Amino acid sequence: MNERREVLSTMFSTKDSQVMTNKGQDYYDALWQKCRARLDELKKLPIASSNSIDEVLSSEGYTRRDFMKWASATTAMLMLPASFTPLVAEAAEVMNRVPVIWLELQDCAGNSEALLRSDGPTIDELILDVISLEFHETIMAAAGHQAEKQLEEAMEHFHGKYLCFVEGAIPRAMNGQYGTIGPKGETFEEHLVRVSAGAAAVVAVGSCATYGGIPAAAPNPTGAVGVMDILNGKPIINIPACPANPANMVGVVIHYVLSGQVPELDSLLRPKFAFGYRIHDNCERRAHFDAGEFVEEWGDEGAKNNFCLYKMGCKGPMTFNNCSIVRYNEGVNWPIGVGRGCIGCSEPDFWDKYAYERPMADAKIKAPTGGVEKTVDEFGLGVLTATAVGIGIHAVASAVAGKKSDNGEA
Amino acid sequence: MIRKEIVERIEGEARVDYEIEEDKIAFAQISFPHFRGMERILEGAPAHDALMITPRICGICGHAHLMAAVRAIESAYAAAGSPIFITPKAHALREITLYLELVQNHIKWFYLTVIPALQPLCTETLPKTSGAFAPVALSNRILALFAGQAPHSAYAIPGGVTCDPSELEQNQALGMLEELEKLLVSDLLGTNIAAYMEIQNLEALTALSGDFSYIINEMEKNGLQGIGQSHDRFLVLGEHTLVSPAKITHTTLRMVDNDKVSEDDTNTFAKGGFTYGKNALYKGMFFETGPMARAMARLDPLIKNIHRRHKDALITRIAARVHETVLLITEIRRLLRSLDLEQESFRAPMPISRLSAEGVGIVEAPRGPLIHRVKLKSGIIERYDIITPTQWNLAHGTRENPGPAQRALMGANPHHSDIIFRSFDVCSVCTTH
Ligand code: SF4
Repeated sequence: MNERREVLSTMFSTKDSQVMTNKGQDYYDALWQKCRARLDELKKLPIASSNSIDEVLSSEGYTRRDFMKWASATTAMLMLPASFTPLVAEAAEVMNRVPVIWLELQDCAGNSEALLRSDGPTIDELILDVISLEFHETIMAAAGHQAEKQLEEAMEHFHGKYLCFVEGAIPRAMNGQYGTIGPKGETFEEHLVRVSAGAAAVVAVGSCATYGGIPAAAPNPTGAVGVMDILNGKPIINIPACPANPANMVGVVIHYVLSGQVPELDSLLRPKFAFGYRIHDNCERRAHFDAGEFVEEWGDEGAKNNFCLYKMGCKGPMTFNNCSIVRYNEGVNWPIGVGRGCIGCSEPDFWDKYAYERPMADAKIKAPTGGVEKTVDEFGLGVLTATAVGIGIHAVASAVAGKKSDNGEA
Repeated sequence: MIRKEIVERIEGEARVDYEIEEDKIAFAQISFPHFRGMERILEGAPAHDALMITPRICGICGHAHLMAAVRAIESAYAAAGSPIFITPKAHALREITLYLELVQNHIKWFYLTVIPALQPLCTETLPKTSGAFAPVALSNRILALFAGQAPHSAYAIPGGVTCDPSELEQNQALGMLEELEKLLVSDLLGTNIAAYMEIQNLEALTALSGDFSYIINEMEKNGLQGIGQSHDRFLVLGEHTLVSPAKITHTTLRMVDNDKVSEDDTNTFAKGGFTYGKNALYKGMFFETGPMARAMARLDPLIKNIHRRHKDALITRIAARVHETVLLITEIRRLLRSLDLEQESFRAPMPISRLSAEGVGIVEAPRGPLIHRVKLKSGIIERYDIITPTQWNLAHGTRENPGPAQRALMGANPHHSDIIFRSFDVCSVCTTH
């Protein structure tokens, strides 16, 4: 996975695909100083969790060198210059001083899953191990009143300092009675408002916490909404996708530890380091797209040759996320790798508009970058032109081959 | 005295209110306070959307949902007189990925649920919960190799699968599987797989040195082997390479008829009750489902040996689930080796827009049978019904006719409530979907 992430440094340094302009040496020098001071402050704090990164890594057979490689890849992922690498490494080491409270609301626990299950041998996941999880509703051994007490203690003790991670949507219909929690039968909304009140920032993990997700699919039976629809006046970071990628969760935490601030966000409050470019921009099948070579039908010759899945409804061209690079399950694979198009799971309304194999023409999707900042907009437009070209060439090829033209859902 | 307790937070929340009389649990009311409305979301959606939406019902057994959805749609094709024949390769790939999900569920349950719940009742320090991580991550990596990601893959489609693995992936998968076996051999079993497969009774099992036998020994030492007995009635509904449908009462095996499965919603909020969970019944009766039921249906010598002594107690439930993990690994290897990569991954069925029929898809998920029933009109979902394993195991009955978990809790020492309840492995997000 590190190798894949290093691709990012190359990507961000080539001119034509630049998502964020280089901010100039002065900016980075000042930022470096700021991060340095912040880390020194953090080091003085008592350790919230007893896991130290060194112990955890060496018990899994990782060397210091592996760790530094990880740090340099993560620095690239966060779009920082290489001079920040030692700081990123230090940030990982002091991460256990930043407390995290993790709330599970209306969800499938898939994001804790993505986090827990890959906990094993990768450095990313080991680093999550070291996060000081003060309270996690899924993995807490304590139950009922005891859990409630621990939550209150953590909230009080770390008031104003903890990051509140939220997984799952918030059902608002029927006065919130579709989801209640704890011995007092608090609604999810009350619970979220109460716990986030003392948080330094709220991190919505997964598409449910970000936009309402699958529970919000038409007709949204439970009135599910995302965190940003409820909370006001709190810094919110969204890490959508279904499930969210653990690498991006780590990225957000490291960034926060490093700078004491939330990373730069797009208009949907997604960190640009992860959601600043599209699946399509770095897709392994992209050459086929450009050449107008498409899968026409599941299992056809094109499918056997890993052609582009655009005509099978791939939503890569309008989906902002870094899974084409980071991939899933320790970089083993991702949906496009097994011939399934992207379903756009990090975009709003993917469950209704983008779903499954409806080709985009049928999916009632507005311009892909609606509302997203300008650089990305322009970037997007350029590629859309390429889309038109790709399809154009393809149409000619289809006509020659005498195949039926694509007319939406098969 | 009534003790209210929220017992389980793995996979959402379930609530149990215990009634305690004379230091024994007299009754337990089980309720599920969360709801998302998945069946309603599916109504009116194109059939293939079920392949994307239903796996997201559950982050832990979503793959079973995918398989149930794809089987349901394929069965509708058959009902419409246009049956789908998938290639042995596609079938094997589906079984492989499903089994991998079972394996990771079982391991996670053993280390992250059973061990912490047993610890307060045992004198010795039990194995570390972190034993789950490496094997779980490995299972998921193999799964993702074919299915793209774990959780929430949608790589199976009516007619086959979308992936077209080459020899490279096949070998990669076999290599990772070998790593996984090594981990299990060194930590969980304490002996090699071949030697383990020879074991046919409890004595031989307890003589091993791995975490599995350690837990079994600790249970015996601390007098926990007999607790948690239930109705001793089991049900298997899914057809797989390792097990076939059967109903087992008092060790007698019978055929099953899927039409005898029913759902009962009398306790739900909609009917003025206290939960979002509906009960699942067979011929109006409660049955326990999951690995112990599958072991009984398979006439598994080791689990039958333990059952002979302890009936359907906690010890049998735990042993059956860990034991199944090993069988699944062996089966995954066999299936992986036998893959004929030349075969097609997918054969195009009649366009779904022409399909108007009803279908049912049944899969043995980690905790038991998962049923999807679908009614399609011109490829659009008119009705979608889901019955999940926890609806069987955690069904809420009456004092006279309690559900399986309730039955296991009644009469138990209140200190044992946690482990008994958790031994049924609640999946509340699935239950209420
Ligand atoms: S359309 Fe999809 S498969 Fe094709 S290049 Fe773009 S992201 Fe990749």
